[in-house]
Amino acid sequence: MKTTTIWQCLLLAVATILSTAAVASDSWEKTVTAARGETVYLYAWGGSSEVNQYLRWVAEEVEAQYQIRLVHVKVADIGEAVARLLSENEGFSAVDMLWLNGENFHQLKTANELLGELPSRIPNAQAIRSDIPWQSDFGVPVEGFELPWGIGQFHLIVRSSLLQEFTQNGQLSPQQLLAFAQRYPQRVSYPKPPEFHGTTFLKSLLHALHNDSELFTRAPSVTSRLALEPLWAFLNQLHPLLWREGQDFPSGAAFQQQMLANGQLDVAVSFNPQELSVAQRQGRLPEGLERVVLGPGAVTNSHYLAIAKRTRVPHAAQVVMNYLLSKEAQLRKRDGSGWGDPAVIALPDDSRQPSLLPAVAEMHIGWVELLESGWLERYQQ
Amino acid sequence: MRYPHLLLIIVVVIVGLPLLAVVPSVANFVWNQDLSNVLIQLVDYPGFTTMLSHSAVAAVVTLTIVTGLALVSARYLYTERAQPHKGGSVGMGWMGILSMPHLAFAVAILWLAAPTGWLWRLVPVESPWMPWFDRQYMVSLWIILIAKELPFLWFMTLRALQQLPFERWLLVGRSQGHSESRTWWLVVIPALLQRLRLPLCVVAVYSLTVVDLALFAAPQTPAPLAVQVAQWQLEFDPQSQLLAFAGSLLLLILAGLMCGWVCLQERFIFHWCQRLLSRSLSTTESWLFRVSVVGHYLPKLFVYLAIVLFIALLALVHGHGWFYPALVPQQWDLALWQREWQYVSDGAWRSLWIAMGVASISLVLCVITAEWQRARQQKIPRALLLLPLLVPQIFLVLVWIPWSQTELLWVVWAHVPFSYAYALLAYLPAEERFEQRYLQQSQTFGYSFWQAWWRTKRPLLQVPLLTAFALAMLVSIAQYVPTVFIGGGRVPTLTTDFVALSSGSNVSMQALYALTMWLLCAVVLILIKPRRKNSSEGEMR
Repeated sequence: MKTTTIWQCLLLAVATILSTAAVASDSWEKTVTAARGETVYLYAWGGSSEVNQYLRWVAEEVEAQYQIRLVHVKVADIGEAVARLLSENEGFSAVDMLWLNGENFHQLKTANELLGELPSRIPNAQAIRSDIPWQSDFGVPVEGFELPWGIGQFHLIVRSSLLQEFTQNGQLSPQQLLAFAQRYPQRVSYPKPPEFHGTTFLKSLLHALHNDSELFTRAPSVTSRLALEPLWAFLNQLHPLLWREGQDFPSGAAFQQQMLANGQLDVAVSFNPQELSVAQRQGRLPEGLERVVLGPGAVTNSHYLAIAKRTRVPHAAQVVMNYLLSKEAQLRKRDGSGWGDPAVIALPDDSRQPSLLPAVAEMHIGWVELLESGWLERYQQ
Repeated sequence: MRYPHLLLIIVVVIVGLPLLAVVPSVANFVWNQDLSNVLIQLVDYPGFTTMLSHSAVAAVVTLTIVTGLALVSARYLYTERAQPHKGGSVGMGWMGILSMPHLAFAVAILWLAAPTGWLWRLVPVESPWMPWFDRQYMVSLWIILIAKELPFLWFMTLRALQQLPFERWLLVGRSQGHSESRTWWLVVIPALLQRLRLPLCVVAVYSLTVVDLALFAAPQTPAPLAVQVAQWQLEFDPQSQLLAFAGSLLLLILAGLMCGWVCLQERFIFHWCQRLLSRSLSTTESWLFRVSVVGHYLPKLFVYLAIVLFIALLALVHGHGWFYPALVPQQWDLALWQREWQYVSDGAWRSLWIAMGVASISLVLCVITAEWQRARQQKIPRALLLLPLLVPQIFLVLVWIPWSQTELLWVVWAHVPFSYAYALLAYLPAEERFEQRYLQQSQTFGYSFWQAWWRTKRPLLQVPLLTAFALAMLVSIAQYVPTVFIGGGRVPTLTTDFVALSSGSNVSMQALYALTMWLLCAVVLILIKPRRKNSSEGEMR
């Protein structure tokens, strides 16, 4: 009698699991069918011709495979899309999807403007690598309101010939950076915080100066300002040695990269681990450069895709997002002859692809505010 | 004219309402916020005084130098135009710079003349003479603003001179034994300056509020106030929003002060000229007059500048792997045009059609405004015309979003207030000197008011009408914020793509879009250029 009950229960359980799976794939089929013929407006930064080129390819593919028209809305700053979303009235939004992270995500999530439960809506979300810390975006819990699209790892791009006497293992400590700047004054700089490359430069230094990665994953407390003192002391030493004696800083990473190409600086910064090889292939950076991690590891984060809650085309947006997370699309994105952005799903290894850099986790978002306001108070007069 | 008020309502609805839309939010800010507290926060913001002085000094320096340069070259500008056989080849070549988008101009000139630029690779000198002409130097922002605004002022000067009977004045002066240059400076210049008041205000306000150029060329630690305000606007915490609001109000006040400065310098020059009428020149003054001959060469210089910049941009587009100090790139790559052409031409056509629609509407509104002024015999305050230029664009546009759709028509509407302001700037001064008698006489033949307008006034005012149309088109082509925000990506233009690309590091691609934008604007100016033949008679002397 007892065994029969167990068997019955087991059978029931199996049946339930099978039917849920069937329902899931069934409902996905329905989503795909409903998406046909719709147009999706994906708001994404339009400053990189490689990314633009990649999205043109994606548009062709989703047109062919799903009969969806994907339009890349190129903006100079994704904050413009956030501004548009927050200014619209209650009806449908002009924004269907966004490419974003950090502060912009935080704003939209707080304003309840994003479609939730993405991991259960997007089948390919199951394939996202478990070895990347994507559940927290600049310290803000993702909670299903966005899915990672690619990986950012903060590092420096430095002239190899000059670098060799300071380090050879691909890592640069703050002291080595200082020695480098002493030897080559006016040849080092970093983007002006709160530009996010600049802020991340500060984070890397802070990690290196403290060697206590636990400290920064927690929210800062009242006494946390003290933890920043070593950073300010270090910057006070470093700044007089920087480009324009640290009186001014490049407006962004793109400008700094141009200065490296023009021979005005010996250091640039980047978040794309393959940036150097991509830029060299595109003729944007010369030979004789190498990438190096500042501090104990590269500050690693993800950049994400999100769907606006008030989108007119939720089905098509989900299909596009699912495609962007597919093996095919992620392989193409990783390809160094194009964008060269690391994949967020597990893909077959490719020896031609440089591996990821040693990573350190992102800081809690509270630290960012402390870093930025502290920096402005001290160095912007 | 029948129903002048009804017609004016059309103008008010199309241009006035959108501008009035900011009133509720401004009122809300002024009444509901603790204003003094916000102002204290603004003043306490790190680097605030430097931001403020950067902005104000840039505006004052640009305005003063541009006024001086425009005045010294005004005379030669006209003779070159009036006598095409003398230096006619130079003629209007400087308009090449006028038609160049600001950001494209900055990209090109810095790529050429910055310390690691192409020019210094060509010239065999030990170190560049102008190490301060580079990105993120205040002086380079001044130079770029001056060089870019000067052709605009020349353009307006030409229009103003066409309405002054200055040849008669010169004749009278000569008959009384004064040299031509003395009469020119003492009689023509004060009159000219008065006509240039509004354009000078536009230059002043633009130099104060410009964001894209300042982000590119000005120091960033701290940035000029307008840049910081734009950055606050894209940070969404309430604190930044308040700072953005307070900063915009401050810019508005500064803009008012700058317009005051325009009147002040006008009065100063006027008094100076008056005093000079009754006495001879001091040594400094005669030295100044001698120096003013540089004005003769300035327009020519700008023609060469336009040619050089064109070559520089062309080279930049096709150079692949071009690093300092290489004289030529690793290879010339002609494939970029092929790859991008489809997208570039799409955007260019869309820009062109939108601009034509916008300019047509703006011109019609312009004519209605002018005729309403006639019918009511009263003038619309000039400050109102400057309003679309004074309010930070992003503010206006964010207020419009809930009221608008993402269709093309709404994008066109969003451009109209800005284009309309420039069109009025070109049209009103000429229109106000028109003898309305001609129109009335023609009505006595049985034509209706608008028929008579079309048959008499339109041909006689063809030059200012075409000028207004061309300016309105150029302004529309240059719009980024209204196009992206209102269009919601449905109407990508050449400019939206260019501005987005400018935030990245692919210089060749930026140059490609910049070059296309420039060509588009140049085509507009060439096509809409009034023919010399019927232009001078067209206006009432």
